[in-house]
Amino acid sequence: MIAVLASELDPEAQALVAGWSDAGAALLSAEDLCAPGWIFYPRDPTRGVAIVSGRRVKICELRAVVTRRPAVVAEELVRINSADRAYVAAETNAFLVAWLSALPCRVVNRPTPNSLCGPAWDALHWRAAATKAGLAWDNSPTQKQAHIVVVCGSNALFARNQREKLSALTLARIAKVEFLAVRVRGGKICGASVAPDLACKEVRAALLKLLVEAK
Amino acid sequence: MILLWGAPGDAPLDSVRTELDRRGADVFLLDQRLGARTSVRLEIACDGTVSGEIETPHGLLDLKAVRAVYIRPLETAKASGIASLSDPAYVRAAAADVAMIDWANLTSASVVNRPEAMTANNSKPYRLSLISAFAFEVPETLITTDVDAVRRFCKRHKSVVYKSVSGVRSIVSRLSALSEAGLADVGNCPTQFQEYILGTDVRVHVIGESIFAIEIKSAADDYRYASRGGNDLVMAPAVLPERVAESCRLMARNMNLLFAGIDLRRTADGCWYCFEVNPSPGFTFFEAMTGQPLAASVADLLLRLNA
Repeated sequence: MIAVLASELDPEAQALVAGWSDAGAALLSAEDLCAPGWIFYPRDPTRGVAIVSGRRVKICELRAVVTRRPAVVAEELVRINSADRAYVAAETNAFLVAWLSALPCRVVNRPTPNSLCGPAWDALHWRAAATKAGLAWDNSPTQKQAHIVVVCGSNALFARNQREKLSALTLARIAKVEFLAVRVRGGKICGASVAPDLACKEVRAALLKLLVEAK
Repeated sequence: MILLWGAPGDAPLDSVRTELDRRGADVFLLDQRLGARTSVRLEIACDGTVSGEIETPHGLLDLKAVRAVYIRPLETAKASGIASLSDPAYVRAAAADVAMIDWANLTSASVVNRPEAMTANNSKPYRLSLISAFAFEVPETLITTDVDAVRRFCKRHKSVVYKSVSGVRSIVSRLSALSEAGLADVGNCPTQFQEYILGTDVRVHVIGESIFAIEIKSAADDYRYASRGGNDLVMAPAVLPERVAESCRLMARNMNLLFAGIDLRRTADGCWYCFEVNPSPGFTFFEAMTGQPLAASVADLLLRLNA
């Protein structure tokens, strides 16, 4: 099974699950996270059980997890008493950080303590990380359109040349992520996101290939 | 210059400030309560270094002058006293806090401690997984929404405690205190259970390379709340075996913590368990109980980092 950790209101995630039904994709929703049945032994995560789309799944049956949300928010937990939602959301996020970090299968992207889908960096932090690594950064206020290079494992989709490819892969390595959208303008980076757009068929195919290939 | 960031009235911040003043240190206090009237402007140079300035009602600070920092930020709403998230004053205060966190993560100044290094405490089991890489035992742990799994876990261990999974402060309690109705709530929220480790609590403060250990005696499951249950609490300075002291230093260093409060328990057969590493210790409680010069040591650390 490939679990897609996302909101039920995320149409891209819904489309991803539908498109990957043959690969056994299923949505891991906020409702699943508050359902009875989860078991996680941090010392031995392989003995655990997850609830995915309402179904009990042994951890050894999980082939991969795609993280498509930085956090679970209290408002989503509609089954929980409203007075308890903020607490349950905090506990659920803390649980997910540990669980996603410990899973033996591929997780794209692995969480950080601040975000379930990679580093929670803002524009300033991305810029500092890039420039510190010697990557050219375009900070001009121009309206000129940027194009997106998507890092997926060791591939850099839509890179127009070797320099763009290397820049994007370097930034992903610094951020310790396998899946990254890098905005490029005039050959210089001008932004990055740990949640690349999944509307593009080529991106979805590359991501699936990354998930099912041996770790 | 040494920068202190937090809300005056916070005991650790106040006591470090007092010690720095006593030493005649060059200190700038960034009062988080004035966040709505504070603006932080940051720039990234072409080599990736961050610079900028802070404008407060008390003056302008060029961040280039800052060599050492001690941060104790509260949540924006708590520090600013503004509860409405749509209040423009709250938005300004939150923007100042976010910018300060950015700067504290990116600056080449020494920060006690960097926000990024502190966030691991948002998830206790995640922190425990980091601890397990060092020369300490960690308790067998289960996080679950499955009541039957809790029952099986209890059968395997003589005694079990439960506590929050997140950084939300909770009172560590023995499972016997959790009613069947309480156990049913487990099905709605991931809950953390740990085997109870019988032994003596030892709190260790690592401040730079200095170690301050305290032995704690209390009948309470969670000594921090001993008085609530009518239990006594006795603390006394202790000396750690050098091997344990070195493991504490190594662990703090590897977690990028210049200052850490480490909760250990020594068992009768000489095993050392580690439960938590607090990256922003509320050390004044321990200082008041033992007389150990913790604030003075933090001040000395900041002076060394500023040199």
